[in-house]
Order: sequence, then C-alpha cells, then structure tokens
Amino acid sequence: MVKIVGNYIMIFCLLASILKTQGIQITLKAKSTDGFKLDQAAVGQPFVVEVVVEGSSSSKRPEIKGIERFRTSQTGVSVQIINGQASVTHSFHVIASKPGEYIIGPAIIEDKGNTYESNKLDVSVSDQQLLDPEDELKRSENQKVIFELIPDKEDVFVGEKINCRFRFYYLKGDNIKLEGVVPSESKEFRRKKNEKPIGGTVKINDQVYNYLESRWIMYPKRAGIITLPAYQAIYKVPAEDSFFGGFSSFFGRSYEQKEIFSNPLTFNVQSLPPYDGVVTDVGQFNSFYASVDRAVAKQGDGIVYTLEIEGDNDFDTLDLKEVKNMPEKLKYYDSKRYVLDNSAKMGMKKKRFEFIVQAMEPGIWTIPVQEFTYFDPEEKKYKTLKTEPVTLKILKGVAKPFVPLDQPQGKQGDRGKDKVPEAHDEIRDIQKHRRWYGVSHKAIPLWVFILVMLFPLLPFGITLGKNMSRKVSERYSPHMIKKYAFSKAIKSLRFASKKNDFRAICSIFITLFAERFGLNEILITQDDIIKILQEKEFSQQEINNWENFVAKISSFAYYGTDKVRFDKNMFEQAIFWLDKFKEKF
Amino acid sequence: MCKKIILFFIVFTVCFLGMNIVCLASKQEEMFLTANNLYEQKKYKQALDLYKKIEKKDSALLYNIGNCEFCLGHYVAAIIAWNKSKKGAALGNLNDINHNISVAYDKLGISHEVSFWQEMKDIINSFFLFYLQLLFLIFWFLFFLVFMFIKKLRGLFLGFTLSLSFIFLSIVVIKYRLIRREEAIVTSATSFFAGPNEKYHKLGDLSVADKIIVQKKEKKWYKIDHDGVVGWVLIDHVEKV
Repeated sequence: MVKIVGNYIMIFCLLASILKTQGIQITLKAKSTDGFKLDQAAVGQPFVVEVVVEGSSSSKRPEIKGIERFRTSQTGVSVQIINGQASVTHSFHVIASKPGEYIIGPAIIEDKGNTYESNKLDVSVSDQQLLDPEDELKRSENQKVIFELIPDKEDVFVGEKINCRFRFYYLKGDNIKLEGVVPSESKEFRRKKNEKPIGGTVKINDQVYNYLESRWIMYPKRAGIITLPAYQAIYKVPAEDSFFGGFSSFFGRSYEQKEIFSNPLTFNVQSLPPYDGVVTDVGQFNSFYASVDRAVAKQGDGIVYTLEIEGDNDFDTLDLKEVKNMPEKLKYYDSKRYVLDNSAKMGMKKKRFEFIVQAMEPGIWTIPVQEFTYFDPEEKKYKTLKTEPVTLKILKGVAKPFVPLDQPQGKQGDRGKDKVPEAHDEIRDIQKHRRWYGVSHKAIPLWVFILVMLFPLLPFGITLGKNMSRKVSERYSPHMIKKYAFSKAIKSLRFASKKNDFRAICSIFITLFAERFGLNEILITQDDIIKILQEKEFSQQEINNWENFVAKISSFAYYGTDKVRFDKNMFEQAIFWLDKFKEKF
Repeated sequence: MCKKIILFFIVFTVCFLGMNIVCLASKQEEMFLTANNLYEQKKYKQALDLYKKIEKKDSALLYNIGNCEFCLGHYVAAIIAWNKSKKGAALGNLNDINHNISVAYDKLGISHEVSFWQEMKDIINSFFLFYLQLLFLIFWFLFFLVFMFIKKLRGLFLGFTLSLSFIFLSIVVIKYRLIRREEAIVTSATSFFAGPNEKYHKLGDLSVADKIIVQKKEKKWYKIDHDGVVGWVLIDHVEKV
C-alpha cells in the first residue's frame, strides 16, 4: 500500500515539474560572502553571485555575460523543491582585480530548445567594500569568527621583504575548528611557505576571542598598486539542529562546515630609484666576505674560493654567478651554493657561493675585491659591501685538467679518469693483510696500575716502618731518657744561650735531675738534689757553690731582670755544672 | 629433566649467538675483501662506500679509506683518515702513512715536515697502552725479584731491570698524555675567536688541513690550541683525528 502511494507521489512530482518548465524564471543576485546585501564590492574581496533558476530542476551551469572580467569560481549548486516547484541555485565567488563599474549578466540558460535570460547587475568595485550600515552592525554583533590578513607595511619597494600574517579569531568557548586556509592566487608576489600557526587570546569589542596566527614572507615582483586577494578560511561549527535531536550525542557531535574570507591586502609598490651599476638584491645585508680553502697551491690544482654574504632576504633566489675582474691566468668554475641558517646573527642568514679556481701559471695572483650592491629599503638608498682581495701563491707543477674537489669519481668523466692512475701511483698501496677489524683495547685502569706498581714497595715500606717505630719507642723508654738526659740538657742550654733566655736555666737543671734519677719533675725539691749530690760524693764546698748557683738561677727564673741583675757568666757556669754532673753521675 | 632442558637452552643460546657473531664477522670480512677488489679496479667511490659500511674500523681499514679519499681528490678527508689510522698501526706501516700524508699535503700546496718528536709520538701512539703497562710492570717486578733473590751480578741485573722499568714508565706517561691530547684537522678555512661566539675578538685564521689541539667542547664550539694560541672554533670546521 505504502509503495503504491509513494509511486503516485513520484509520478505527480514528475508531471508537476514537467508542467512547470513551461515557465522558467532566472534571477541574478549579488551579496557578500557572509550573506549580507552588497552595495559596493572591493578589489580583491570576493562576493557571491547567485543565479536562481525557478521552474527547472536542471543543474546545467548557466552562462553569465560579463563575469569573465572577474576571477570566478563556482562554489555550489543547490536544488530546492517547494510545493512541487523546483528551483536551482548556482553560486559563484567572484573577485574583482581592478576598481570600476561593472555589469554582470544577464545569465542565460537553455532548456529544451528555449533560451531564458536573467536580469543584469550593476556592480561598483572600489578599493573598500561597502555594506549596508544595518548589515554592518548586525555583522559586528554576530561575528563568531573573524579572519584577517595583516601586513607589516603597505608602502614597499619592488623586491622588498613583506612580513604578513593571517589571524583566525573565534569566540572563546565556541567549539569551532579551523579546517584549513586557502591562500589566494597572485602572480604579483613571490611568496615563501607559511610558518606553523601559533595560538593566543585577545579581547575585541568586549568579547574574548581565541585566535590562530600564521606568518609568511612575500616579495612584490612589480611596481604599482598591487592587491593580494582575500584568503579563505574553512572551519567547522557544531550543527545546531541535528537530525537526531537530543540523541545526537549518542552518535557523536555533528559539525557544519563554513567558510569565511579575509580582507584583501593592497600594497603601494614603488620601483627602485635609478642606479648606474649592477644591483644584486633588495634588503638588508651585514657582511660580504671572501676566502679560499688554501692560499698556496700547485699550478692546475683546484682551489675553493668562497664568497659569503650575511643578511636578511630571500636567499633562495639570491645568486652570484661570476667573480668579477678575475686575473686571466686564473680560471674559475661554479660550484656549490648553500644557505647557513643558524650560523649568522639573530634574524640573519648566511649564503655561501663556492667557485673552483684553477691557476694556469705559477706566480702570485690576486683575486680582486668583489662588490655586492643592494638597495636598502629602510634607508632608501643603495649600499655596496666589499670583500678583501685574496692573494694566491701558485707553485710550479704539472698542469692538470680541472677536477672539482668534492665531485665523486663517477661524475668526473674522461678528465677524471686521466687523473686516477696518477693519484694511485703517488701513494702507497692499500693494506690487505693487516688487521682491519676494530678491536676495543682496554688498558689497566690508572688506579689499579698505580696500586700494582706500588705493590713491590710494600715489604720495604713495612721494614722501614718497623725500624722507625722501634727507634721511636727506644727513644722514649726510661733507660733511653736517662741516657740522653745530659745531651738533651746541653742542647736546651745552647738554645737558651742563643736566645739569651736565662730564665730557662733553672728548669733545664730540674729536668736533668728528674730524667737522670727518675724523679717527678713537678715534685722535685732542692733538698732532693742536695741529697743526690751528697750520695754522689760531692764535697760540702761544692754543694755550697751549687746552692749559690741555684739561688741565682732561681731568682732569675722567678723574679726576672727587673729585680735581679743578670750575670752574663751564668750560662758558662751552667755548662760548668753540667760537665761536673756528667763526670760524677 | 629440568636440568637437561636448562642445559639445552644454554647450549642452544650459545650456539645461536656464536653463529650470529661468526656470520656477522664473515660478512664484514667479505665487505673488506670486496672493497679491496673494487680499489684494485679503481672503483674508488664504491670501495670507499663499502669500507665505510664496516662498523668497527681499525688502522688498516682507516688507511684504506684514506687511500680512497685521496684517489677521489678529497685530500683533507684523506689526511684525516690517515691520521686516524696511526692509532694502533703497525710500526712498519707508519712510514706508509706518513708518506701518504706528505703527498696529500703536497697536493694541497702545504709544506709538511715530520719532526723527530712527531715520529716518536706516532710510534708511541701506535702502541697499545695495555701492553706498555704490562711491560713496565714485568720489569718493575723483575727489579724487586733480582733485589731479593739474585746475588751474582746483582748490580748489572738491577741496573738493567730498573732502566727498562724507567723507560716503559716514561712511555706509559707519554701515552697517557697523548690519549688525553685530542688532535683535529681543519676541514674548511675559518677563523678562531677569543670565546665560543663570533662576537668575540678574532684571534686568527685557520687554513684547510691545519692541525690543532682540541682542549674542550662547549655546545657547537671547540676550545683549541693553534700554535700556542688558545681560541674557539666552530665544530663544523674541524674533525677530530
């Protein structure tokens, strides 16, 4: 039953559409890319031209008169059927490259042998896009995304570096994904690859936006007013009315793809001022340096002559093809060119141009000063950098055909082959039988080596130590103390005499008696000493003399020179008594 | 049973590893011999590529690499390879190496004379430290053994063993110093500066194939000694030998 009803509906629709083709209507409309009414288009800024064909379901592209003066791309075809009436909408993005008054249309479509024409559009193209003031207000209020191109300067010279960036802003919190950015085509600029995008946050009209930014460098190729057409950003926003309604979250979030166009960029590009001479580049350069890999070479040998330029410009296109004023006896050939990105100062690069120089005759030859002239757009004047001259000493040798130093053998051709046996014969042959494989050679660790080296010295050390300790212990035994008591006393007395330390005499004798007779040095008294002297058969006269001597040295020791006059013969007397004791003891 | 299984696995693993090592070694040897043949056929580029593929390189291999580089006209690269080959080279081969280096310097138009001290250094450099240490220790122990046990001609033996010990100890000390002394060859003409940056004062120029002593490394710079002048040079311009 359902199938039959469906079939009837289909037949009805078909018949209705056939009947309606009898009266086809075509309308041509223009609007801004975000759907607002367009009053005036701008150079480089795309706008939308729509051809609405009512009464036909044919999607055949209509022919639009006058659109060829614009850069055009068809962006889509949509078919709508409302109450059985089909309408087909063809959309085009149109970009004007020059300001002026244009007429677009009519759009012409052929259907079943009949030709239908649309209205014509008067489009005014100026340097700036104009929208209806109300639309402008709505646009600024509802903007969820903003896409803009920002240059670092607008007035430039031909070949001058322009730093550009685009920024894609989207409202913070909105789940918007940037799918891609389509750069506009322009042959007026030489563009370098974009840098990786960076992100950030910014406040615009009291609303917080996240943004993605990417930078690139470009160089204008010609003078005049040049426009870089708008870039297109494609992004995705969450779909508002999902087919599954509230259940959509079960199927994953669905997104709707949208697009936005940036502003175009217009530059006033000036031509370079006239100059009598060769200008190599436009930009800023720091240094120009010439060097050779060796200053002394044999006749016919290849010498690498390098010119190095440091600066900030498009080094991919910069080239130095010749060495100017090269002496006739020196031949040179192009070799490598390479850019050193990291070796130069901040923001600067270096490029090296290598030439192989070959001297045809011996002698002293000078490669003269090389000049590099460029236009500095900052200071708006021409500047010239110069190298130092390079002097080569060429020794006499067999002139050989030129062979680039770093070129592999296979590429040298016949000339290379001539050279090979010569080189082969000059050096000794390869080694075929000696050990070629690497073996790790471990040495004895230094600390182990030193320990092992000291090992044989160990018995000697032990013996020496034993002897020393024995001597020391003997030196301090009571017997040895007694034995050396006199010599120690004599030494001390000599030392005291040298220092004129008369106070020490008393203690020297006390120590002598204490050590010689094994008494306690602190407790020993004059009576103990007299008793010893009596035992050792000293006469009473001698004992009396001794007592007088002791009284004197004691008074020196305990009262000092202020109260007692010092007898200069006291040291001699002390030696006398020492000799006497030594004799008797 | 368990013991048998473990034993089987041990034997299997040892055999497997042994076979792998043997296969690897024979593959490397095959490469070396093929490269030698290519050199004989004057296919220097192919020979060089093969030599370079061999993982562990010893003196003879480095020497052959130097020969290939020379024949290809890469004189600086040849000098570097030959200088590297001096380490561990047989005494008889040192002459060949020095001859080749002189020829390469001659090709570059640079006068190159090998001093007596340089020859001595090369000879000492060619010795392995382990053997020198061992020789010293042998004579050192012999000296003490003679001292303790030999009575006849004691003075003669003591003098002999002590002299040899002293000679070998001196060589060991020099060898230690040479090991710590890192030499490098300048691969492209450049300048050297007072500090590890081009902003520092320029102290002088280095020509291709100049020999310098590397004292230390800091990021992309080597601290070098060039004829007694100490400065800094970018790593890219020199290669250690």
